[in-house]
Amino acid sequence: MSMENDLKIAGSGSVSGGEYRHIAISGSGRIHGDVLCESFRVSGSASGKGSITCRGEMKCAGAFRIDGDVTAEEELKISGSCTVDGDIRGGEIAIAGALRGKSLHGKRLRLAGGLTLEGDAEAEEAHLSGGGRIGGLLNAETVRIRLGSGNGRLTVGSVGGTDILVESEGAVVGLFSRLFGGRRGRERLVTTLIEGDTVELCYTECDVVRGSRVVIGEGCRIGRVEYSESYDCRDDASVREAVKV
Amino acid sequence: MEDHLISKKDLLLRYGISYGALYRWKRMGLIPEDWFIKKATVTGQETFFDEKTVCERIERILNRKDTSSLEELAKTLSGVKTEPTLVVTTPYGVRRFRREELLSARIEGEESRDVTAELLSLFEGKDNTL
Repeated sequence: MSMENDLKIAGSGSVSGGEYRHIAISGSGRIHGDVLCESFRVSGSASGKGSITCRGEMKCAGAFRIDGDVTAEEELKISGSCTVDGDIRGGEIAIAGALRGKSLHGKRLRLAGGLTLEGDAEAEEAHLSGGGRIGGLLNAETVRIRLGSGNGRLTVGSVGGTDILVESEGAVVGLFSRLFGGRRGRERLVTTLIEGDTVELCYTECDVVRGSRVVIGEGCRIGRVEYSESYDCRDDASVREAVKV
Repeated sequence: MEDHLISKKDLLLRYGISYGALYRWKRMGLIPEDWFIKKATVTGQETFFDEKTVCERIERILNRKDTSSLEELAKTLSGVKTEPTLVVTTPYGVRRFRREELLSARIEGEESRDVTAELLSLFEGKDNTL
């Protein structure tokens, strides 16, 4: 079981899977088979048929497509576009670009771009800004979603965790654009269920919110709130019913 | 015949645990994902659990927390050969059967074939030490 060989593809090339030390693809590369490596770097366009398991860091700047699972034990960094027909596992996961996959598990997830997942996203901490879609559950100890002043939306099946905070950047920007540009859109979080210990929302559309301490802020449209300790609803929010449980 | 189910809400109330704690235990593998059963109710989608299984597990977690860490418990639980259970997934939910709950099984079609022995034999084979 040797991981002594590095693999470099510059230009156009195609290699078989296997065990490598450092893999670097710049240009257009194709990998056939599962890969186990120490580090993996793509800049350009690459595709893989099989899974990639990386003990260290995996960096993708360019377009990368893989028909399998991706595991980057230390760090997965994407600035570009990465399409994974499988599950994504990583320690630190940082996306400034677009990531598409089935499910995602990491220690820390930072998204500034687009995330499209069929299933669940789980992490200890999840910081999301940008749009996208998570089909299943977004679950983290700390969920922090920052909505911008574009017209996009973040659609999530359901959100669960300990501290869930949805904030909207640019209250000042919003005012500016309203004065000079007419009514710009607002990014929104759209989901069916949010459950947490502390839940603070704005510009969120949600059927049911459950928590110990719940604050419904501006721009929210909520069906039902169930809270156990405290509940605050700001003026510019619509909540159909709020129940203390 | 329905297994006795408990809703997530009732479970949290019964044991005085928070959403955050429950989700944390799920992420750690202390409560398996397939134990979360989603059903449609009057108030929308709600999550239920098999009452006996989940309560046993929650009590184990709560009793254990002070003497050993959750990580240690997660490791123990993943390594422990729990009682073999036949898990059948249907569009309407997940059904679980322990060995002693299977009285008989057969495949009915043009002919009827008794598969009880075959099915029960699947519970054997692995060393079932706890």
